[in-house]
Amino acid sequence: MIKYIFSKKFLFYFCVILIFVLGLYFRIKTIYNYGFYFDTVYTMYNWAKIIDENGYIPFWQYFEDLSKNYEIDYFDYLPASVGYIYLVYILSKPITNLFNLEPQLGFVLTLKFIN
Amino acid sequence: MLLILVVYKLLNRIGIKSIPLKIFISSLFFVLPSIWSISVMWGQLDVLIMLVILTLFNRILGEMNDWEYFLWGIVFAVLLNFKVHVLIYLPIIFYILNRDFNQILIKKNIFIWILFIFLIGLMVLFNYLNLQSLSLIVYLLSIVLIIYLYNLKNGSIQFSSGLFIGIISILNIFLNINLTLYANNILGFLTKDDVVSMYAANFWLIFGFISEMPTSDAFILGVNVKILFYVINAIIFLPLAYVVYKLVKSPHPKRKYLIMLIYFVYLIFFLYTSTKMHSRYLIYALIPMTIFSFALYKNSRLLDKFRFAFIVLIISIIHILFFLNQLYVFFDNYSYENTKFLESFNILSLEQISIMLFIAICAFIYFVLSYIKDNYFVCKELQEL
Repeated sequence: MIKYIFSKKFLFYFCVILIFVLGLYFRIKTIYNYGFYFDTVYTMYNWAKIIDENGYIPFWQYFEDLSKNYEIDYFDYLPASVGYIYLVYILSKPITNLFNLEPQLGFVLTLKFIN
Repeated sequence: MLLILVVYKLLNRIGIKSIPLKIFISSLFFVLPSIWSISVMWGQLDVLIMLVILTLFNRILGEMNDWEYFLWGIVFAVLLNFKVHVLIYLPIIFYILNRDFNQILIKKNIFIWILFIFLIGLMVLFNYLNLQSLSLIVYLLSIVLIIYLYNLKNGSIQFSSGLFIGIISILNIFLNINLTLYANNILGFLTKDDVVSMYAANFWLIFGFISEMPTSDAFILGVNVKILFYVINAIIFLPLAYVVYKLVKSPHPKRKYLIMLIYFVYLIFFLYTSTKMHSRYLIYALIPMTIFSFALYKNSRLLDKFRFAFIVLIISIIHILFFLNQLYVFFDNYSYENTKFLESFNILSLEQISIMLFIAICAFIYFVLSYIKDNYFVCKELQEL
């Protein structure tokens, strides 16, 4: 037993468990953090909201007109990235309802979880 | 978690046999501060893109059928629609795809070399004139030329067919929707006003320039930083090209992975010295470089083990510095609740990170090259035999 504890193999697996505990600790500790607000909420969340309320194709067709209603004047993403953000937005809805969170925080939590 | 799995598979492919060691190295990607800061703090897609790119590397390093090559070409076209930055992987992908590329590299055809030098010159010129969109077109043109002039086989044709069909289909969709907005997002990124750095701890901050300063105002000893960028990259390119040239001739089975490592080493220097760099773009070279450095691992002399451990230490330092750069941006631009525990890590200024990063990257290049030279070059006597 003692021989096994001091073996190289045991040390490696012990370090692996330690790594996972440390990784989870860091993630749980910052779970309610919005991250970079400009990226996560001001842009991503609001783009996803526009798509949810107007549709993906109208979002591209009339972005300049639509963005005025949502007070956003910034857009630099590509189509697949926008689709991914919209997917995260859809998935964040049940989480927001379940834990009774702010929609922005629910979105950021889902984004972090999927990432 | 998926990234850990892909890293494990890649480590397996590059020849690490010990299972506990592979589990240990791949699980490290769960706590790497660089990855954690990108996905948790930024909430960005870069790690997701890295996951697909690493899977692509893993698949094309093995054997695939024609349809798989074609499908991966389409996947790459979709990835291009996530981030344009994945274009930097195209040369190395074509290198892996073509098994005879080692012979092609030393082909003595002066016409082709003159053509490539001319194309590189055009790319540099367009970049300098802030016409990056034209530079991108020349870049894609040179990739097409490589495929057809060298008559590449073994999946290159299938992969490139998938890639071009993917790009054209996506373009067709957006021709019917709003091509202007779509084009603005790609070309806007490339042609926006050039700045020295976008809060990235890059090479130019060492000289006292500040973030978001236009490159047209940034001069060192009377020379514009954009010209200096090409000069520095050309200087660092020469020793790396020499090592690649030597490795191409070497019959060592790990040759392919080592050439890939050198490509990523060059890429990290290229990204570090680039103007208009965002603090998180270094990750595109940092993750593959970290994985492929383990191709150097050789269970032989004790001295080599120590040297390899030193190389791993430098990589860890680069990861930590990258994380500190992210933290700097985080606290310089925003202030929030629940960040007190992160605040204690924010100890260095952007200039200090830049200097330390420069030392770490240079040390890394030096040690990797000397390690390869001592361990993987074939000596003349062996070649004669």
